Amino acid sequence: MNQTIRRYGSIFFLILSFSLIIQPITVNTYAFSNPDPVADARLHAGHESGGTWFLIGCVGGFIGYIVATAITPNPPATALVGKDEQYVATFTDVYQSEVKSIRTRNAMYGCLVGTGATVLLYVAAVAAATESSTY
Amino acid sequence: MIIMPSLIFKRVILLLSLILIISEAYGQSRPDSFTFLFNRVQESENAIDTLNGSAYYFDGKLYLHVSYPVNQFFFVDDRKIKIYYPESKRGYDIISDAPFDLPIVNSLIAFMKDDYGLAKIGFIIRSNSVSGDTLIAHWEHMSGPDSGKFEIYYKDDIIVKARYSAKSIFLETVLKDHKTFGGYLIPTHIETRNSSLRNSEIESLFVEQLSINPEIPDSIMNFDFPDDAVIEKRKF
Repeated sequence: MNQTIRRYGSIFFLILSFSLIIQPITVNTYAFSNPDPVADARLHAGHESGGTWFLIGCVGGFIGYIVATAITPNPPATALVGKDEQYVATFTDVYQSEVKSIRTRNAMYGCLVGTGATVLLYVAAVAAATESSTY
Repeated sequence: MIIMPSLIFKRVILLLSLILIISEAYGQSRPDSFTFLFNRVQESENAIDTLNGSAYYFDGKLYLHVSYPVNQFFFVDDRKIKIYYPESKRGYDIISDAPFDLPIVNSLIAFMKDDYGLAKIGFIIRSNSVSGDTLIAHWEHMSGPDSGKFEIYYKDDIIVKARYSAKSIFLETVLKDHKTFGGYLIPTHIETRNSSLRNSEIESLFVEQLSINPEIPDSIMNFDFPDDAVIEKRKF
């Protein structure tokens, strides 16, 4: 479990540092002449860390899933500079939708895996207790 | 292997310089605000894109007036963005629960911090080395090398290059053509090479007429939409 947390923590950090330092520099590179806001938004959304939300779902269960659906993702400001009105509108809509989809999907998977693991542990504990009480 | 005493002395001096640079990172006076004209050119294998305008950075806020390819006012204040198009008198008032990134000025702000802003995001210095007259500081995140590594290159006590490498990402930012503005040596050409994507891409930011701690007009400091503007509010 510790290894899993460390692994996801590492992935989370990678994405976080990418977004803090590197992403602001690089994201504009998607938007070359005749930019396509839908394609650009999907590329940006691809940076979202699904692993982090899987872990949140796994640890937080249904609450983790609720959190994933409740928090609205922030569009990168860098992607909106120098773009026309229509681009800004479409980009923000698609980005929000795509990131939210990644988050809720992974949180749901995490929730299911976490719940399944809890049920298995509970069954194993009950079985062990039953077995020991019969002796 | 025999190491010349002069070489050892040189390395000791460079290491002491690095310690001094890092230790002063939080105490030294830094520009609170600056303005400049910018020209950003992005090149990929298939296209070249240009963005021109002026930038005002003050109190952690950013005001951009983009003049090309569109006429756009772009104001970032922590968790708010105001985007306004004067031709159509339309705009967006974007509010979020989390702070927004600051376009255009990121590299300059990082440059103005002696540690490139790495300590703030959890990086710690692991080692350093010397190459000619350049001191290289090697940074790793406290969670381990899997989270990527930074190399910051110092020449004459100023940052001339920053490299970031992770599993599939490699970025190199070269800060060059330094000029003195208001007593500060500032790079006027920042070139970033990105090989994290399929195609290799280069972004060049050219800085002109930089002014340190200038008087910021009230209309910019408290930027707001005109009364007759049609504004769409967006909440994130």
